[in-house]
Amino acid sequence: MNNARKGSGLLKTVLVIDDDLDTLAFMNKILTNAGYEFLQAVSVKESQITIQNFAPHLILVDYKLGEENGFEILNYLKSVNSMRLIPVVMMSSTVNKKLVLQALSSGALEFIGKPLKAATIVQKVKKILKQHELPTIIFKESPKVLAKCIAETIKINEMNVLLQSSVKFDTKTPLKIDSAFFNNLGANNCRFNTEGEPFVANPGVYRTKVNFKGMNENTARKIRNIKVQT
Amino acid sequence: MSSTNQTILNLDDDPDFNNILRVILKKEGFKLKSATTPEEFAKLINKEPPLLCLVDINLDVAMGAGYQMIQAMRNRLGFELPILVISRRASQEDIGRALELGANDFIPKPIDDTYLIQKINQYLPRENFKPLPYFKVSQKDWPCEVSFNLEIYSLSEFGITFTSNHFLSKGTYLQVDGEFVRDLTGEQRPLKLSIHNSWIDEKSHRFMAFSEFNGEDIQLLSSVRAFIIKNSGARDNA
Repeated sequence: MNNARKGSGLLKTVLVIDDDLDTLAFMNKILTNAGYEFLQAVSVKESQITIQNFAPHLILVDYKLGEENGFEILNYLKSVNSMRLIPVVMMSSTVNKKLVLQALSSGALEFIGKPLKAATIVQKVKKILKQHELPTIIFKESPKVLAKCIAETIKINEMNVLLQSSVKFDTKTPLKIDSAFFNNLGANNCRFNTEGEPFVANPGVYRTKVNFKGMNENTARKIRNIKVQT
Repeated sequence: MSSTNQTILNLDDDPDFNNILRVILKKEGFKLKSATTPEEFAKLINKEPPLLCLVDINLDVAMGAGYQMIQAMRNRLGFELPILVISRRASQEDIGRALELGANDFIPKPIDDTYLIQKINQYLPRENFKPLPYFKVSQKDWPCEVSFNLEIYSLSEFGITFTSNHFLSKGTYLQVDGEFVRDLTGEQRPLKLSIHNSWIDEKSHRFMAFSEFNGEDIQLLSSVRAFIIKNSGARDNA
């Protein structure tokens, strides 16, 4: 197991943008060894696609990208709402005060001069990723989702079914139950409502009484014909 | 259940049926008042609110008069009073329509005494009532899928925290779907998850359950990160 994973339980992705293939190979080696998921791009266009697809945790971009330059990446990130929180470090072999200031004021978090040193890079990446954990969104209005879990219909009569599941269902709540067995009975057309406090069959296994609603006569007759009484 | 008022009110245009019903219910200690027309039914319901209503939705007077009756009752009396619909026409559409309009349940005609009494007990539970025995389901027929509603409390890069009145045990496998999920993943299919941790929120007294994202699923993690960046105002002021 590598270091980055041990720390957070989640693999962090770092995108390095440089038109120099040797730099990319070097960065690939040190970042992968340090436990990060390494992504690379050599042009602005390619960077945009990679950013859209992977939303990397951190971007390292070279100032000079052939005819293009790293500022185009900074501008792109600012223009895309969904990417504006991604931290960016600019790298360059020409280091002067004007360029550094311009980079920082354009949205770069840090500036690193080339030649790159492995220890410095790893240190910086580690530090920035630690400072730039994404926030947890706590919803003001909780989004509703439809959840589906597996369960077992272990006992049945015309009034209700005993459902065994790892979910302890709340009482008087509508559910939907689907199975081949219910299909054959025609019971899948019924509505279902939980009733009462579930019984604990085993730790983490609950038996919930579920009432049938709106059962037709045909289904009731089929259930009566099951015959094996408990 | 109050011991003084044991009245059940029914609407059916067949006096013979009403007499049979009266006999069945009397044995259970209920007093039946019958109406043969909607007008009469309305008068009776206003005079003395019953414990429960049995309404035939297939009256001869006017097809579907029973449906209108249910709707009118819900509008005027709210949803407390149990309304059980009785009908000879047992099509699933009719039953569905009655339930949509606010009926609690359906009882097929001809009436099966046991079925009727058991149904009534579901809505008017009495002590010492003997429920129907269960049939054992053959084990091969046990597996089923259960669908229910959940709410999302929070979302981080690492996973989703659900909030619910249902308790989701650790290790529960879930498929979640809906507009939110599709927005989050950018995929047109449900998201598969398992529950890693469950607890009770002290403040809301609701159950909470955390599900961690699969760390190998780079595509999902990327979508989640993009979603969080897009939807969090956390660094807007920075």
